Amino acid sequence: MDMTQYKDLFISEVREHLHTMNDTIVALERDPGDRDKIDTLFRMAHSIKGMAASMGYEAMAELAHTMEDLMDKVRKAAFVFEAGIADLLLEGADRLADMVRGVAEDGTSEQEISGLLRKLAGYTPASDKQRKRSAPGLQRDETVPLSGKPGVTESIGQKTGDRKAGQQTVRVRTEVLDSLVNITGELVTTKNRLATIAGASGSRSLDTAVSDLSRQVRELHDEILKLRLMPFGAAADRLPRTLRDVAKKSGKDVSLRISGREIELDRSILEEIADPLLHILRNAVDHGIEAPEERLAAGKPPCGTIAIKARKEHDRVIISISDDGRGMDPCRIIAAAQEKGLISEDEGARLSPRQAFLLTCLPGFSTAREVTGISGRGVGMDVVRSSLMSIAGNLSIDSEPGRGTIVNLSLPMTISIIQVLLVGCASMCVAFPVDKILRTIDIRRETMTTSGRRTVFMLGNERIPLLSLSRLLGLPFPSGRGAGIPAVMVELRGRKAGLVVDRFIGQQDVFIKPFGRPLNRLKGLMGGAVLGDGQIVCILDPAELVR
Amino acid sequence: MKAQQERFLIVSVSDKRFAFPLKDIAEVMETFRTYPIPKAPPEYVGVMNSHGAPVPVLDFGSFLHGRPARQSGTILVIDSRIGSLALLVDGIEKIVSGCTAETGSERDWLSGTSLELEMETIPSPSLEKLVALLEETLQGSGATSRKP
Repeated sequence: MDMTQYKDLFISEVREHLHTMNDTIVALERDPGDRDKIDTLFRMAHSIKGMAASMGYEAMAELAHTMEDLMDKVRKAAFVFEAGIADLLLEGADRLADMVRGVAEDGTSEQEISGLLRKLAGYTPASDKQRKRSAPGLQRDETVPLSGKPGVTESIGQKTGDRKAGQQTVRVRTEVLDSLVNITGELVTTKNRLATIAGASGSRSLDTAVSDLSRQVRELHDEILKLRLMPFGAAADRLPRTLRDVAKKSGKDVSLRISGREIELDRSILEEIADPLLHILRNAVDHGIEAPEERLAAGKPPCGTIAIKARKEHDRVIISISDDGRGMDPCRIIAAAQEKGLISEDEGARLSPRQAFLLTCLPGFSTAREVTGISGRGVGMDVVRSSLMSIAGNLSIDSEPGRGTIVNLSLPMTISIIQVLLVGCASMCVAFPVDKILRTIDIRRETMTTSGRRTVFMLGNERIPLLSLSRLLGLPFPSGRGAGIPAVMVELRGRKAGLVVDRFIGQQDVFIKPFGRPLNRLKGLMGGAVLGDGQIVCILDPAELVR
Repeated sequence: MKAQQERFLIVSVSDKRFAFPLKDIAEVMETFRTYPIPKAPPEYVGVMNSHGAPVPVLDFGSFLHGRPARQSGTILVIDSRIGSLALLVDGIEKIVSGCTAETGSERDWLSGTSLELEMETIPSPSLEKLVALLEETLQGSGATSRKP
């Protein structure tokens, strides 16, 4: 029987089971007596075995079967679920994930697993004492230490494997959802075109119809975007496992609290923040949390805490990653940036602490005494920031030496249709995403002064540097400006700045289309959009324009 | 081993002829309208609306010879599997069948492969390598261009 038609379904189901398996293993480390979780883990291994066998992936079925056997011993109270079992099962889950990847890529699950099978089948508990099962119904703490005394955490009441009884769902391929969003985006473009025609025709009835269409397209778009929303938990699920491994490797005690797992974000945004989250977490363990003895000497508990909180704020989602580690010293960061020639002495003197912390996001910046294998050399905070920028996200950092650090990620819930401000610059019409603009302003000439080679203007008591968008884009300067100079205020490298434009054109919802190869390499461009009159406008990322 | 016959689009650019594999060209357009691309090097004529997608137009002659970019000519929209790019050429001569031969180093994207036609060796540029070269150029800075 040809089973290839079921391959996609098999892959997605096994991946889901492996997610649950990873979570459950880590959760069982902190609560080895949780009968439900023991049963869940056994069931996951059993299901994967059955699915793999039915698809003819024998090695995968054999590995799942051996993991199931080990879990059966735990189920029958022959073994206590201890760190050694967790390590082995996680290794097995990783290997199964590799096999699924193989199935997805080239249709084969074959791998050398005899060593792992022997370890799983021949596992013996660390001591006789451990054979006695811990009493079921242990008190569950909200958090549990990771590391040498392993156990990770998640918020209570967020069981990943739980399914609401009677909930009806349909499995839809992600490509179909992407396609629906694209089609809706095209509808927005067509609607904008109709609005332009209606405006030119002067027909009130056409105007009304376009206005109705506009509302309906917006509703349709909102509903389709809801289909793509996934809970933050889908990205957060990876974190306890990673933190467990990192903490073990660094010999630190760390507990992790995750809240707001139910907060929903677009699938593509979740995918984009997965790696940045991992990097920020690794940084927190590697550079933030102190070693137990150092913490004790500083009057802190030996076990550090990292908290990840997701919350909604208007139409954005804020994810905060805080730790109670050694924190950062803004003066030291400024000194390091100056030493590396990233900023001048004068610039350093004007930075606020929060602006100084953002210097860590400049390419090549690192104050770590040594680069460890845990945080890695390749991906730094500059890449984290770039990833966030690419999805119209933002990052801010606050820290206090000795008290800890908090990294806030501000994310849009969806990205494909955004509101932009259209501005004219020489003969060009360009757009800025509204959520990247702090405000628009008509600057009065008398508020402008020069400071060295810079032009600044006063906004209240604040001196704000002024940059010419024409100059940034390599365009000719406009001549004969009036009394007021139009500018958009944006944040560049953590500081407010004004970008002088020729004129404001207006705001509009547009369907943003990222540029493909090669134009996607041009810094400062987020993509393009088709306006109502068919004109294509480039959407600018102000932060990237000045890098 | 006998090379497989392929169909090529013969185009002219500044008195020179080039052969592009027909399978790499998605569309040929005689009329087009472009809109400026901020920070793009001068050989980019602008961005055009290609069935709702923004596609940059590169004046191939300007890219090769540094002549000022033009707003007229024929547009070749390249296959989206290679990149999102359209080339502005002076004109299209014909479609021919033939086999290419290695006539230069593999790194020579412009004339590493050629087509023998009517006693003439016509360079058959690798569009894949061209897109990679353009990426490299744009990655460096917004306002410079690197000629082959």
